[in-house]
Amino acid sequence: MNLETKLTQTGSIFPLALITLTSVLVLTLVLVSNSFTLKESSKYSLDKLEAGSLAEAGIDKAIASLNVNPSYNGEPESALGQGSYSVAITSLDPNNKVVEATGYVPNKSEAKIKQTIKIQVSKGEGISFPYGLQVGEGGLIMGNSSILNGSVYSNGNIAVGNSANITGDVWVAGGTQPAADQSADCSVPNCADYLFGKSISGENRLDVAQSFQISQQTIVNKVSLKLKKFGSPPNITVRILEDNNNKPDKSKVKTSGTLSANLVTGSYGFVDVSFSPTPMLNPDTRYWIVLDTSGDPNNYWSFDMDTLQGYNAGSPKWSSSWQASSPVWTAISGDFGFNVYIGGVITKFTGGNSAVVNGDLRANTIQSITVNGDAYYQSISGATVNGTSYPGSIDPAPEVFPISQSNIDGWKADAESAGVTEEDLTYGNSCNITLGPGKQIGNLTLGNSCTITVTSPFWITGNTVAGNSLKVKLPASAGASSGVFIVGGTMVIGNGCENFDCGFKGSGTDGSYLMLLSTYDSTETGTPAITAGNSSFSGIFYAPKGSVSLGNSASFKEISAWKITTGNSAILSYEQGLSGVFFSAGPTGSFSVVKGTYQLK
Amino acid sequence: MTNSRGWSLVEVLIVTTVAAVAGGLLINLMISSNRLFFDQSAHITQGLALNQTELELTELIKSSAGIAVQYPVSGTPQYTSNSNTLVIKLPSLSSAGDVIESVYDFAVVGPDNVNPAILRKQIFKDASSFRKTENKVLSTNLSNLTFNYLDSSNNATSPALAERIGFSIELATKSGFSEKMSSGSGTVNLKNL
Repeated sequence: MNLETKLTQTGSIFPLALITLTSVLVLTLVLVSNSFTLKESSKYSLDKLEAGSLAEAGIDKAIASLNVNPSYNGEPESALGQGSYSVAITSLDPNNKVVEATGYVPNKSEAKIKQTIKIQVSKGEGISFPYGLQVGEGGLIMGNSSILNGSVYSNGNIAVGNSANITGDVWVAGGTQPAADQSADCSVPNCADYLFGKSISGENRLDVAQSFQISQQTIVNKVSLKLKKFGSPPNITVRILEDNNNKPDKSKVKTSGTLSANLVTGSYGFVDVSFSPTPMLNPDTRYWIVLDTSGDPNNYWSFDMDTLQGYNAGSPKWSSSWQASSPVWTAISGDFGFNVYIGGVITKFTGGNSAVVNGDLRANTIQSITVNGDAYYQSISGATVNGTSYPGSIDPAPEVFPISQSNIDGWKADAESAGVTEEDLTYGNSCNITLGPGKQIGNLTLGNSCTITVTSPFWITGNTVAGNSLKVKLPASAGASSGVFIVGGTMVIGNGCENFDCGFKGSGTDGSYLMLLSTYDSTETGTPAITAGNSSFSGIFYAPKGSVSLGNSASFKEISAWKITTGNSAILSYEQGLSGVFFSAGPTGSFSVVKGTYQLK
Repeated sequence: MTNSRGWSLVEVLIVTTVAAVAGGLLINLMISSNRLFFDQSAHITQGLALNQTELELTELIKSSAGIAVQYPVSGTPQYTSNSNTLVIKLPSLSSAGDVIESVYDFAVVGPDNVNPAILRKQIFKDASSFRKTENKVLSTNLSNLTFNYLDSSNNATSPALAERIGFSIELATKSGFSEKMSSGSGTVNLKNL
């Protein structure tokens, strides 16, 4: 073999190198391609979420716009952030609309990603009933051998007879003095709006405060504030602060509570705010009620203000931020409408022989009961606690009822505007009639087994007497909305039926309820506002100043009343807490989302 | 005259050594490249599956009318909402795509009953609903799936009372002697409650 031959021979390294490099190149290209696919997939996911967020922004914009201008009918395209959204409104009727909002990334004409959300909005008010059985200062009285299947929250005393049994937890709130300790209000023409929760004439009035002093050393159970709202502002946190040189001391917060925006309407009314814990305040010492809003130019508040400054123990101020490092508080000429209610009324739970509470029991004073859960109290006698005892416990705070007088006034106004007629209405057995919407001045008398279809709101000003097996319902067209049947006088209902077949029923759609609302004042007459017979009743019974007297074996959906009494051997059962009961004819006149209608398309 | 002189031993040794080193480097490069390819491909496949799963879960939870304790709602349950299976109640849809009130379809997301490495999404519709039924494999590499049922304050609650769902997903793929893991998580509000 010569050198020339050797130099021209093919080696094995070069092909191997060629194969390896080709393989590496191919794999690298495939990997890069897949990486781009992953990047695109991740970008798609993020853009899809962004398009969804843009569509939700469109929904929020639509609701806010409808509450400012009910004839708002959508918008073709509005830029926001990295994309845009469009809104289309379809009116089902003046109070119900379908809102369809679409989010686009990057914009509508060159949309790579879009996401549509469709909801229904309705003009009304959503109200929650957190307790199946809520009792006011009148308290709860249960006869011998009666049974309550569930829990109860009472702002007044609870007395149960021998062998009575409550299967759930019991709260007896610390008692509130019936009259306000401090009060300020105005009389026309010396009333003025004081707008806050937005910027007014260059004043960023996000937080407002009213100072006050109480007459004795005691706890403050609640305040009530005379407010109205514009649009749909969110709930407000209300705090009681100590004073520092005639302004609220941000570092000394005594307590706080929540003012539920649902309780405030577009007309002035006093709305309660309870505090937990209930603060102990000193007499002749200045304290401040501070309302802390988030600020929204379209959804804000107004205090009813006494321009004569009739309250001598305090005055109002505003600030752009009560929590700023050095908060600036500016004086306001006038006095806000408010009441301060102090406690100091001893409340108690009184049992009888062999009476039992199976859950926890919280009350200032506990007497003659077996508590199978824990017991929280200041004083106890004749009781057996099988759980843990907590002597020296602070009284539970009084619970504010879920519907305010402003709400009720709004429903009454709606009923009145729907038409007023004046005559007594009398119907015989097995009647099948329609009532409402409107205000009926007179009494209503119904025979046995009557069926009434009520278009809400309906307000009967006088007394109502109904026979057995009464069925009152909303029309099917009410859909998921709830309605209200207002009775100004007393209401007596005969026996109900098995399986909740009688009583007050919604439209048949899930989430629809008909509330029997009694405005009768039992605190003055002692006469029950609502008297119901035996068996079961569907619907919601609400009597903020009335007492409800129930027969034996009463079953119900929800009762909130100033006072509730039962006979002996009664069995009370209820559905635990109703959240978001949505009334089609709401007092606020604002649009909000109908729950259950959110759809991604 | 031809040159009859051959390679010296030193030359042969040098050439052999260079060839061996070059060959070794090339083979090592090929092996490394293949390993990298399979590793990264596994990550990419997992990433795609994660993206898809998170997106579908988010949309299902947002649209849901609540968490069902079990499916079917009565009788012997085929699926039960728990820490690794989610049974979602969805409003049934009419032919026009509108919500049918008080009628519900159900979606089940969770590991396959037979092979727990398979993550499956199934949709069971009511007879009156026009929603499409589905039986879709979201991943074949499921290692761990956890659902947390939360109330509005982010406290743990029962499935029936949940207002928010937190989820975390881990996918794992064998790659040679090692295991490649990818994970994702999120919390989504139920918009229809």
